[in-house]
Amino acid sequence: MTIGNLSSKICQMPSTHSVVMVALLPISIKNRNIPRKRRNVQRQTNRDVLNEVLWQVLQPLTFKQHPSAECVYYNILCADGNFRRCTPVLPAWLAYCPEYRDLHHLERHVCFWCECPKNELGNYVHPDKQHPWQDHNLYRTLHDANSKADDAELSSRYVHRGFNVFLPIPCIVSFLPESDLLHTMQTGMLNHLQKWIFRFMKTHERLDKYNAIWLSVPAYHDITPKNKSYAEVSQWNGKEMKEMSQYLLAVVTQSLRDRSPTQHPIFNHAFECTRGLLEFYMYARYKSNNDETLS
Amino acid sequence: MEDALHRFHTLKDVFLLRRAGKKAMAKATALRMELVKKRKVDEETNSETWTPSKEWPEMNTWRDYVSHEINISKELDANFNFAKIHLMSHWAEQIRRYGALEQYSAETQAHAHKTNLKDSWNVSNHNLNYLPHVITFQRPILCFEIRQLNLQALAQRWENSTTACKVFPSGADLAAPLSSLMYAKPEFMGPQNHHDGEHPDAIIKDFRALLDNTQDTMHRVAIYSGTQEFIKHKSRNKMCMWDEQLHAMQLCIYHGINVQVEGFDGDCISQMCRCKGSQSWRRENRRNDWVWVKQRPGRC
Repeated sequence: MTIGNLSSKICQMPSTHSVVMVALLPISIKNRNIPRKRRNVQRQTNRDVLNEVLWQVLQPLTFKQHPSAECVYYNILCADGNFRRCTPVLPAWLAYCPEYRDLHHLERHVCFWCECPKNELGNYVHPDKQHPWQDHNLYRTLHDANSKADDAELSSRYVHRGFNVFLPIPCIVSFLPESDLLHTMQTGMLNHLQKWIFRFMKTHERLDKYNAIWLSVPAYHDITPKNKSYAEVSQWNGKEMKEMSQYLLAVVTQSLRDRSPTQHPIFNHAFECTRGLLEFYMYARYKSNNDETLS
Repeated sequence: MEDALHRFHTLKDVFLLRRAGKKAMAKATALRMELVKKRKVDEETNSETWTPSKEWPEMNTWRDYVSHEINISKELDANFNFAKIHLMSHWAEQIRRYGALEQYSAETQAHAHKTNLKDSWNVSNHNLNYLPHVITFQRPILCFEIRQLNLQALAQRWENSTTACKVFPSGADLAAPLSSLMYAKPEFMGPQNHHDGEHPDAIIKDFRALLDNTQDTMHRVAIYSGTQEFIKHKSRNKMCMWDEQLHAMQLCIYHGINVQVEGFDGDCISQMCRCKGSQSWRRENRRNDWVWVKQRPGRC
């Protein structure tokens, strides 16, 4: 548990105890140790146990049960033994995609905001033609109806059957997940892009040149000098990805120079594609936006 | 932002071959094996007609054909259908709805796994009944450390503020900033030498005596200037006050107050708040951090 209005400096220091442990969530046994026949049943049990534990944790914060809930503020016993006046509000939180999936009772590889079909995830979605939002109130009614047609409807929307801890909460649950740059971009899309570029260079026999240019990137401001090429680094974290995004386009441009006429359109597309994603990432990092930057 | 995303989606097919997963690669390998078998059969049937001069160009064209077929097979099986590439399409709306995106770091939360779980497991005696121990181990440590942080923050605030001595001119009602239902009137719990509700300290009876009793010059100046500043600018009932009037004011010095608070379950709990700036006040001279000044007759 943490508090949303803390400054990032305090949040990132473990000594300040900005993150407090509230409960230990159960970790299920690995699927490889379970026979294939029992795997689905075990998965359903895991989901039920997780939701039951979360329900136990969130139950004291439900407003209906508290006598003085109407006055918005009430005193809450803090970890240091003192009482403080608080307003508990369920905000968005930070988690990896699989954790969001478990919390929202969704199937694997599904968007937790909208009902986009699995085979259309890679397509560009125009802002005016977004898919319908995940409607957990509808899922609750379908779950309560408990008929075969409703089960089929739920599975067509990639939702698991069973109790979900967020179903009784009277809010639009699909608005709760917060879009975060760390997991979606830095350790997600930029990591993918790096792998694609690496394989692209390998296919077009430009890997040596790419590695040489990569290693020659000088230290400047927060860019550290490189001792290892991309393939020699075993693991990349978000901070390194963020740093890499500053010079990746320059390295790709220099590596794809001196091309033949047949290679020209392919290399141009690769360069423009890299540029598009990095530009999107740079726009997303803006601290303030207007219609011009968002369009 | 949307333009850049649209450009990326339009041109991303150049990397489609690199998206080929395990299944696509296995399928491509099977296709290659099939083509190689077919080629061997062709070589055996045409062994008499294919001269060495014909064989090498034929071999090269066959290699190009195989690589082309395999690329097509990989492209057919590869796709960009994964969740994170789709999540980006919601960002423009998310920014419009909630403001700029934040750049999180998960290191603190990941570190908590070690401090909260592994340390307590290592300390326990690894019996079957280890779970309650793991859960309860961290709580007292956390309580102590948060109390220490609170004290440090209080000390820091005391050092930074120009007012070394906080003076609340209108007494107990203003000390509780919100409604009196939530915070009851503070009760005196300070110096030990008070008797029968009389003035707690025989030496300090008014503001002048407080200033005279303060040995440190800097501290004295801070008390004086801080009090003046508070009465003129920060107090709820701001007023102009001459030095003679201020010096003649009666004082009531508190070292702690007893506050009635409403608990989470609606029950009433009294909580002691000690008026101190740092942890080491007990070993040093008495410090008067909170002082209530009797501003008008009859009201404290």
